[in-house]
Amino acid sequence: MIESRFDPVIHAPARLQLCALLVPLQDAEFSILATELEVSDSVLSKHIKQLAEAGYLKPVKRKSGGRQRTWVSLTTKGRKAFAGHVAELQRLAGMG
Amino acid sequence: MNNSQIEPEEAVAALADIDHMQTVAGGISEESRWTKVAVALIAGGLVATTMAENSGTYVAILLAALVGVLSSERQRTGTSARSHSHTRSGRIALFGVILLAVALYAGGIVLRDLAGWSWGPLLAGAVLAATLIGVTWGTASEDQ
Repeated sequence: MIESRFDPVIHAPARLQLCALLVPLQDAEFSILATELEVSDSVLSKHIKQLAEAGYLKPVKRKSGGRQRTWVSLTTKGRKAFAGHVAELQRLAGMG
Repeated sequence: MNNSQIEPEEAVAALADIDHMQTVAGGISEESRWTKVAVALIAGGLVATTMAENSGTYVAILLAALVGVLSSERQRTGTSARSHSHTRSGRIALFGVILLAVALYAGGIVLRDLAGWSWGPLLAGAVLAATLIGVTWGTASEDQ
């Protein structure tokens, strides 16, 4: 059962898009996220940090091809919060 | 921010944004057709070779190939799609593939040991690979 709950941490447009992009994925690489969200690396870093501080995202640094890359995934807490936020949006939109 | 500040129009726009981003995620994490074919062939190969004598080496090679294919696809797309086993339809599909593989494995053994057809295991592996290729190719065509 999903608890409908508005989440101000998730609702900011870039963070909402970031969470929506990550929901169907196990994880995604930082540069792919920046490209798809059409934001700069510094802006994306700021949003990832805010979501990570809330316990919604988990950034992991891995070395690949001699380069350090950051992979980002939603935590279980993040998935629950996002589902609750979507349920609340649906309620507000008169769909729920 | 309080939700009393959110108008229904803003909620509708946010939901549309969410739908769009989830479609984008589906597109960027979509495996190439050749990856799907490679995985289907490896799965068929596993069914065929597990019936062979001294199958350990073949199975190890095929599992290493599977890891290689999946890892290379992950590097190519920069993403990994979430397993579908958390959804009801995903669990049904997974159960169906396992059931088919077990049935083909048993059929391959029956053909080889009881009917004396030494190509029974190969046929079982080929049927599984062809089925998986058909299903994934058909699904990809529908998506396009």
